[in-house]
Amino acid sequence: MSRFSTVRFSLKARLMFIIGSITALLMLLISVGILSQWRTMIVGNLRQNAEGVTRAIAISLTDAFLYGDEEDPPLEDLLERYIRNYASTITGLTHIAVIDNSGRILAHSDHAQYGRVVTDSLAVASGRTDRLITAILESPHHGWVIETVQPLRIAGKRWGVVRVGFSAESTRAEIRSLFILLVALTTLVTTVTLLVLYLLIGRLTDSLHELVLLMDRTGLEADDPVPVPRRNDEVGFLLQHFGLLRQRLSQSRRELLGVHAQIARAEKLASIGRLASGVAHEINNPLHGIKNCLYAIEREPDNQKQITTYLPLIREGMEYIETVVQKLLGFARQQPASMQDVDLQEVLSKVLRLLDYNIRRKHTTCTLTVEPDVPIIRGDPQLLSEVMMNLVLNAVDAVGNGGLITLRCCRAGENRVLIQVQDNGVGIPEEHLARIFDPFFTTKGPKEGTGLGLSVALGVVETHGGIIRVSSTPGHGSTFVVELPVGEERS
Amino acid sequence: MHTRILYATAIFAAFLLTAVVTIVVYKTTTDIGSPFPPVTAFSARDSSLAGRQVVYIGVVSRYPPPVIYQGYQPILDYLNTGSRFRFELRLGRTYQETVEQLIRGDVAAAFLGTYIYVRAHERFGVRCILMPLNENGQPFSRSVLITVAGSPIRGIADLRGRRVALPSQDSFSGNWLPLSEFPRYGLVGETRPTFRYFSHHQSVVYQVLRGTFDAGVVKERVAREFLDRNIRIVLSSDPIPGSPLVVRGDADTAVTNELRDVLLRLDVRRPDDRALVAQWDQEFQYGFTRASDADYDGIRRLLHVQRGQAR
Repeated sequence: MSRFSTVRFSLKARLMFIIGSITALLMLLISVGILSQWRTMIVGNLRQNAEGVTRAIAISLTDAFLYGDEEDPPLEDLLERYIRNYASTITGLTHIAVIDNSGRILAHSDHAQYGRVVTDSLAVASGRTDRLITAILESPHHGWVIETVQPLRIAGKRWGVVRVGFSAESTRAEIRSLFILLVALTTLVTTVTLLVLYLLIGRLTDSLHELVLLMDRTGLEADDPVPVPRRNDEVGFLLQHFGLLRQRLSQSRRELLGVHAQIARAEKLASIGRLASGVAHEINNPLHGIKNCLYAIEREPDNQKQITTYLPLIREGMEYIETVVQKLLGFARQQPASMQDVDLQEVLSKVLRLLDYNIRRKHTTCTLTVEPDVPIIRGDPQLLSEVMMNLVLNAVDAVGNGGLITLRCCRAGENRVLIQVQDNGVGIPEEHLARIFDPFFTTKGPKEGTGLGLSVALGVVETHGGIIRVSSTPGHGSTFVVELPVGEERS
Repeated sequence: MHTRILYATAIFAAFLLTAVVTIVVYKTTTDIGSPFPPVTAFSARDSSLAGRQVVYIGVVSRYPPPVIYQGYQPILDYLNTGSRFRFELRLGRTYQETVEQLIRGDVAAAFLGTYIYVRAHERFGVRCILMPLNENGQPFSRSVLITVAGSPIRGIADLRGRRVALPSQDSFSGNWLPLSEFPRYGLVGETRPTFRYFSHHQSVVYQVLRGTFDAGVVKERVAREFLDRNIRIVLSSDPIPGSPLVVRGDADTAVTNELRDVLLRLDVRRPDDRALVAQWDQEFQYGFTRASDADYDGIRRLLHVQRGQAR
């Protein structure tokens, strides 16, 4: 019985893992891409706004330098006025400072900074260029700040720089919110994808499981169509074709059984042919006796004493012939295979009786030993007789005059019996051992064998759930061992 | 069991990796200071000026200060190149203030107007050393009468009863019509147009554009700037000597000579020099020539007319 739980790397787990990983990775890449683009855009806007405002402020402050007077009003006063105005009107401004070319603060939104000389990296950088410089940094006082430095200059005349700081906290919060949103979306999409995937793959594997169960409970011998669930997908297609495959296998098996039956019949006929000479001799002797008796009676029809003596002999001869013919008919009769109780002692004895002439003709000694604990087994006595007949006939053919054939039947374990046919004949060459059970394989002449005997014997034994083993030493003989199950009802 | 441990390990590793990537992305994304600041590719500023003797050059207030810096600072940058002096601009709020700066020695030289120079020469003995050339290579310039493009004014005669905007009273443009043209066309007494002086030439143009005044007089160089903004030149003055670069009578010869030599060295026929002067005020984009006081005699005669009228 197949169970999916015994599958080591299940399709479901692999698909979930692979597709889940790919989905998560793709979502991650997409999210990072979107986040990067939006971040660039948001920070770009922040920068653009800061730079725009700073440039506008710089124009005004440059005018202050142009029009400011050292006395009326003093330049610093004018700058102070401008800065206070910017600080009160521009939203998000954290600080604004006007710094001269030597780095001294001329005006600042924080009065504590007045007169201080600025020497930080931004001041150094701005001192080296006439372009606007922008930096985003984390300030201990204002958090994230975007700071711009714009030189106050016209043509080559430069009065200093204006440094303007704008809070970038809202921008950072916006990016953080975007990040959280994308993480949530990624998690949601991945989870939903995995869930849908889990359900779909579950459905698929359930269908496969169903198919496996169907295969398990479907016997090839059964001719009745197994109900296949109707589905319109690939699984349905698979189920449908499994049904067709089963039908083809069933058909093939029927054909194979038919062929086997034909082979068995052919082999039986061949065996009958080989029996014929023995049977003829069995019949011929009493016939001769009957003939002689009849001849004597005809010669002396009035000899009542002779008639009285010969008629019982004639009857006895006739009855013997009748017995032989009945035995032959019994062997040749086509009977359907039927499982019944089989006494192996009886089967083996009957076979030896049938082959008595063949054995005696070659002056062969044949012994039969059946152990007392051999049980009655379940099987077809006719088929088993054929198997034994073939094995003993092969042994008779293998041994020379005065050869020895030993039949032994014993129990092999709790539920099996073993029948051994051993001879001291010519043996089987090693290169033939692997082929002796092949149909039509024979080393005998055309009129001596069909090459089907052992093949049929193997088929019969396997049909009974048994096995045949063979061992042979060329020049010293062969041993065939048939091992049969006792059968469920007898075990 | 082994398979389950394998799957559990893989899932745990995936979660761990995801967590690490998430944290890294968070840190990277919310660090908005990166990749700022883009402080790269500085254009090196000239620090060689430090320590040099500062010499101030004055400019009369003919234009707004930004315009003066835009047009005159490049001239000073040129003068500063290779000089042992550091020339700086010092602007006057009036024409007179620049003359006073020159006389006081606050400025070593000054770009004066033609008219104010003649008067300053008479009063303080200042002397002109250079005057600019025009596009024809001649040391002359002109003042022009302007109106808006659709104005019916076609000449001086049409100005009768009209309002005319004029630049500084100390400039030639501010005196050309009142001293020379109005009397010539009989626009005197009640027929004389009403006029008003403004600080800068550009202010005159804006007044005309706004329609506050029917016409105005400006330097030709200023009028040309506004030709594409609905301004039309109605009349040009006779050529007058260009606005001179003036020094005091007892000026330091070293400064005077350097100014003269460096500016006369310019030859706008050379591509390098032509590219250099492209950023200068249009009045000086064709170079300079030596100036002598006699070049301004024509203006001096106009001044005499004014004095005659005053008497």
